[in-house]
Amino acid sequence: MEERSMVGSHEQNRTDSRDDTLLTCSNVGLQYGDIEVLAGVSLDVARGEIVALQGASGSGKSSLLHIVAGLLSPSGGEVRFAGNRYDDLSDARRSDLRLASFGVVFQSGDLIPELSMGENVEVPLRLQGVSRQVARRRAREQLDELGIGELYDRSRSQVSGGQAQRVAIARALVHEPDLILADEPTGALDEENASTAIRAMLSLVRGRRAAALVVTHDGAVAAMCDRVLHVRGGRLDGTDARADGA
Amino acid sequence: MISRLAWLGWRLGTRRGYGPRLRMALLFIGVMLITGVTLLGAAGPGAMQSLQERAESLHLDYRKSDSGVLGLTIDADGRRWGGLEVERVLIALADPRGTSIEMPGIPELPGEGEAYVSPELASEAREDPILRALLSEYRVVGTIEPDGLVSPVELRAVIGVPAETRFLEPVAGVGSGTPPPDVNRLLNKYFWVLLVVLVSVPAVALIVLCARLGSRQRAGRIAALRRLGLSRRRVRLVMATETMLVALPAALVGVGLYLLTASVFDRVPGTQFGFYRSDLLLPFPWIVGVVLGVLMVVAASAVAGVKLDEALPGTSARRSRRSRWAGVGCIAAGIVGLVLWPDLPRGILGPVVSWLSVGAVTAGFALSSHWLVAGVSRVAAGLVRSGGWLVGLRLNCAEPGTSSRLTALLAVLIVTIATGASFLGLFASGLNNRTPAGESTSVVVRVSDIGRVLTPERVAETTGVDGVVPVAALEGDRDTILTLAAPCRDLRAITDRPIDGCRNDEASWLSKSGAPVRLNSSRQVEIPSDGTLRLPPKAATLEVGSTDLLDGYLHLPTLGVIDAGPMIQYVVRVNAAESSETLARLSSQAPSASFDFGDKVAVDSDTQEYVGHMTWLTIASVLAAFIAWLGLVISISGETEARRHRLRGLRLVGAPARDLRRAHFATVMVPLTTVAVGATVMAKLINFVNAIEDDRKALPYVFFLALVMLSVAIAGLTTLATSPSALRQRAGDPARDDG
Repeated sequence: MEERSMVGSHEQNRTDSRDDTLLTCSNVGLQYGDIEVLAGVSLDVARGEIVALQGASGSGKSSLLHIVAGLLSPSGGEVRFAGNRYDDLSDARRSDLRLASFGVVFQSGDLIPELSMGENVEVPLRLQGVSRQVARRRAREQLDELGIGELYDRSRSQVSGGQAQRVAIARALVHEPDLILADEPTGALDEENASTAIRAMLSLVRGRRAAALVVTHDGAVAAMCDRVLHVRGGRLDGTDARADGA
Repeated sequence: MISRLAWLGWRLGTRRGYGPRLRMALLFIGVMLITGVTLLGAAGPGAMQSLQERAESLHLDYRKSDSGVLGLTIDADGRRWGGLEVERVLIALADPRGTSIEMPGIPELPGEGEAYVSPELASEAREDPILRALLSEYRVVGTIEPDGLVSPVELRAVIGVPAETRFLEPVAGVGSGTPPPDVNRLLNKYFWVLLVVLVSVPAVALIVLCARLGSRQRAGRIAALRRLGLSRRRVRLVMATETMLVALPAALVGVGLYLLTASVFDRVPGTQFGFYRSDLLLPFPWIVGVVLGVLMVVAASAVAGVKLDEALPGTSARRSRRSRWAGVGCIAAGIVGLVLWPDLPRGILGPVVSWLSVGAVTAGFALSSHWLVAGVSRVAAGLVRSGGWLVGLRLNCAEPGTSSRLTALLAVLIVTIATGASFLGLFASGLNNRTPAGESTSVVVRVSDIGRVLTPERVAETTGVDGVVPVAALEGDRDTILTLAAPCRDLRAITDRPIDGCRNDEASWLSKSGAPVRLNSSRQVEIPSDGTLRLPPKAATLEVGSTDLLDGYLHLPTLGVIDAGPMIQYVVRVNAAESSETLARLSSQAPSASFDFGDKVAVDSDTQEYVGHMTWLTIASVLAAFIAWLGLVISISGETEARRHRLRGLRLVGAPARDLRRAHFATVMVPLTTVAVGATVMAKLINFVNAIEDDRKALPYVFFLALVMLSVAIAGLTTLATSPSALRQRAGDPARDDG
């Protein structure tokens, strides 16, 4: 019930923020050799909006997410962040943008095994020049928010897959990015922890008027998003998947 | 940003699992060896330059003759005593008032029959009967101080000879002359470079491969850093920082290794290449510079070795084939160079082209070796029935991978070792013309005495001399004719074969068969009263001593001893069992005497340097092979980890354990053996082409057979050593990023 009301309020926010587009993908295409992975994908994500991407395996969802994250260069089209095109920038400039403005979390977690869980969360802050004390405090706060504060000093081998996934989400949120890019962020989590993680994401997006693009197969997670888009055969289906009963 | 990345690299580098620890241990060894070898390599030329300067400062200056002091430096000139090179400085005082010259290292010039010797010579002479015989005619009156020596292990003597000794040159001073180049030092220089290359190549390759393997095993971490917002350059920087954590202490240990070596050794063990320790110590800024240089190479290797493409999806659908074609091009260019270089103009160009060609063939083979592996595996895959074999061979076709690239290192090693051995064989054959000992009970030697101290009587009375015949030089129509002027009885005493028809009243040629070729003296030989001999043109073109010292001598028994020009020469027969001591006794009587053994140097024990070189080449080869093997094991272990996902498919379909073993064997043993055999064939081809130009470079087939067998043994050991990690996936442990 609470989720439903939250989604309802967000629908209003979405309407209000249409003019405040944060991310724009225009006619984006991607080729792997002879294989066309994405074809003419166009997408807008406004500030304060969370968009879910759904689709069958191999449909191109993750590739689209990598392009938006600046990790892949599209074969065609363009990608803009806050009105500025960045897909044609150098790898170093795109990386700077990702470090400063994006929070990226993938299903595998991508935690760095040599670092403790707390240090993993600190990394984005430390790389941005935040002092050690401040980075540590904010990392603790973020982990506490996700209910895993006790994991701060543990190593990767001392936590479960679900806990590691939540740490990865904490790492993606800790530097309060403008755009969160998540690929199956709750795939390894039970229902309760998935809800907690998504709430944290929503809180950031709403509170800071950020935005999120979330790839998910989880209907419950999709239901908490403002829009759900479907990717089929490398093309974006413009309809809200929830309208189809997803 | 640099400091933040350095922090991250430091944090990542301080926590490691077992696998990375092993890899880092290898890296540590590699960097330590590179640092130590580079420092020694950098110090080597300086030490050699210092030796050269010392030799020049001790060389006698003949350019002015107003001092009245006579002296002569007798270089070893190919003659060695007990396998050791001994240099002698002869001093004769023609005028006691003219002793203005001072020899460095000795308080005063030695008197007649006196000698100053270096500490090493004094020490060796106590143990070595040959060196003792060399000093038997002298009373040792003192030791030469370091400022009179070229190196601390030099065997040098300053000898006082009779003032009337002829042909000693007037000396104006010491230190302005230029000594002749020493072939041994030249050889040592090349040998030095060869050792440095032999050890450095696999060590550098090890660093690159460790970095590359590390990045492959850490693909997950690299992906995480990239997703966090680090550019490719910054990820490389983080990896380089992490590598530096190991490289820096390793480099410091390498410096310690170098300092320890410089403080312990005063010669290259097994050789006569001695040096003053202070000459081997580089200035502190140089050491820092070398360490920084090594660290930069390590950092560059680490940066170059990081593979980022495997961490995240890319848009390249096919693997690049550029390296294969580049490799084929290098091989073709190298073979063309090898075939053509003997026809190039004489000079430096030919050898340079030769070595470049060898390098091109080697590099080409290394670049294209994975193509060879894929080709062999493709053919073999069509012949096998077992699923394990098929999967393993198809893996080789699809992705020969790091392991086969590492085998390229094996290929480089094989070619380097073979070429190095061939090179040493060339030098050694020039220095060690020996016939096996024991073939004859006596040896014939031509003795030349520029000081004219030796008389036939003194030679004949020397212990160990079985016969002596003076050599005279007569003027022929076109050239000087060397003549043995002695009765038939004396002639027989210096030959070990009968001389049929030797008659004291006739001139005759001593031929190789032992039968004299008589000349009709009344028609063809004219001996005028002034002693000038007129001979037909044919006789004047005879070459003396080409294969046997007695070949081609004109026997003129009735002339008696004829003035043979600026020096006295004898043909002497000595007992083979004590020939070195006998010649040393002759040399002690006449320090300016030199000895010519012709092409059969049965008594020359000039083998110590060669044995030393071969020993060190062997040690360096074993060390290099060991480093390469370590690299192979660690790399293939990592490769096995990376392939676990693929081999797991075999297990999931219910393949028995033997199929997993076959797959592992096919992915390890087959590439290694293929490349080893290919590299050996390539090395044999290089050697074959080189031997066409100079047959002294030819290496026996057994050498190459041994290389193949050693390589196969290494491949087998590597396969065994990496089996546990390959078969562990049977237990179904999940593939994990172990950092």
